[in-house]
Amino acid sequence: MDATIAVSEPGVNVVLQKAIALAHAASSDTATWGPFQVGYSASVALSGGVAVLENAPANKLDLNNVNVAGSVSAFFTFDLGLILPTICIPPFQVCVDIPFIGNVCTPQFCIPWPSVHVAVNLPFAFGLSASFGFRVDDLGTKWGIVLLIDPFSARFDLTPMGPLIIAAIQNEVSNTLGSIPLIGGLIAGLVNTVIGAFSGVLTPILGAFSSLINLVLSLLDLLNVNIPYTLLTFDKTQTFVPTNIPLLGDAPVNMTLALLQAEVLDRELLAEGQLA
Amino acid sequence: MALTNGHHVFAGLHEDAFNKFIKAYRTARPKYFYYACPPLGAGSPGVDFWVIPPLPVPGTNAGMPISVRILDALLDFRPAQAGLHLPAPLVLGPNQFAFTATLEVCFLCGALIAMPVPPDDHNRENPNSPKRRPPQKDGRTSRDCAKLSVWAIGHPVSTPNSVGGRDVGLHIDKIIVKDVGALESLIECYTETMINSLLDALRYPVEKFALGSFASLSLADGPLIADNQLKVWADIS
Repeated sequence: MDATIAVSEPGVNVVLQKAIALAHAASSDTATWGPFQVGYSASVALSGGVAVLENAPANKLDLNNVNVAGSVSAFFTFDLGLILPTICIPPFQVCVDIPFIGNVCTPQFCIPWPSVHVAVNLPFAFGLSASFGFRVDDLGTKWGIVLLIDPFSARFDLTPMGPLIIAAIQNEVSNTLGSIPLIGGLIAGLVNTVIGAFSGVLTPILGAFSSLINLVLSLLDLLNVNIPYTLLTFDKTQTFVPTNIPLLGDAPVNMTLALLQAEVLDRELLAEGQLA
Repeated sequence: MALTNGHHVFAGLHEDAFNKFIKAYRTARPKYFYYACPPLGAGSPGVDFWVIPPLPVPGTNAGMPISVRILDALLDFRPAQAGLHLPAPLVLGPNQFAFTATLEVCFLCGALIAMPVPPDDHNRENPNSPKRRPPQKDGRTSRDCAKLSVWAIGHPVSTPNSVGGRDVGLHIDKIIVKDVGALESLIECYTETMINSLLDALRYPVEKFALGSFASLSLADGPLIADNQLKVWADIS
């Protein structure tokens, strides 16, 4: 081959760290589970990680212990009237039909349940390891050495978020109900009723959060299984001496990089090219 | 064995690539390989050949058209190819390249071209004396050429360039021109200057070739010639 480029494992790490430093993305969604309307957004950023090269025939790059950190911001809106039973004081109303006056009832006050809005911010972090294969792609005017990520399952666990969300809702519902007069003795039971209703939909809500985080991860080209990540590019037309150098009117001296191949050898990314 | 040798990036260009580069350079810029005083020279002056003044003829304010063409230029990086036979005292040592070429030197014999007289020249013609034409040879001219075989050895060089990087190039250390008798040392001096000027024009900013893929790269070691390649090492920052 006419030209050989080798990049050491530390060199690959420097290149990858530049890519990782730029890897951040966010997205948002809304959905309704029973009486609970939930708006949520997730943001993710990558940092750290160590790349290890695996020699041919494996020809792989293992990226280990990338820190995936971010947060899910969610707000829950629900009408307590759709969850709690109607409560009137006194519970029963007596009405009598009085001639010439009409229907007359004893006084009764039924509590108008308010709507509740709860906002929570839930940070998360986990380590991610992924394996990549190498390929040389024809990118039109360039050759590209691209990384192809092997399909992976992100190892994040959102179950610790469940109690946090429940606690936030419990606190807000307690405060809301506490401001309503004459139901002091009922508050604990009413809160439990709301939490009981919410617990029934907590699992699909956490599932939706996970899906959104996965979606955000897929927005990062480096971790997208469908988008080859271009690690290095080489112009097919290499201008060895540009126009007007050293003399005005000098034509450029170009050569064509007709072929490029890449493999991992001695834990170096080795690219060999043929000039024409 | 790892190539990067403790650095982030290694780049090696094989001698075949350099010889392809010389051909590409000759195709794009033929004038760097062909210097001629018209009417010698073929093609468009300034494009196909570099216009040079005639060779001054002592005793006249005129010169004889001359052309110099570099033919068959070839580089051979250490270790030498089997077919390379360098004349003594040239020996291809570590970190060296061999350069071989044929020079074709032509005179348009019998032709004299008036040359401008330098302003501080004291050999001005008397405007009142009879006009003296430069002597001509029967009014006939002939293109007489000689081919000289050139062998040289040299080493790679790295020099700072105007954009903060470094240019990598080649420099002739010793040249041999055979069969020119007593003129050998004169012609060798002249030829070495000419070839080094050509090699200066071939210098290349090492950060650019392929290594341009990396955001910021600095030459850390080299250039070094070994294993038929010109090698450089660089670090990414």
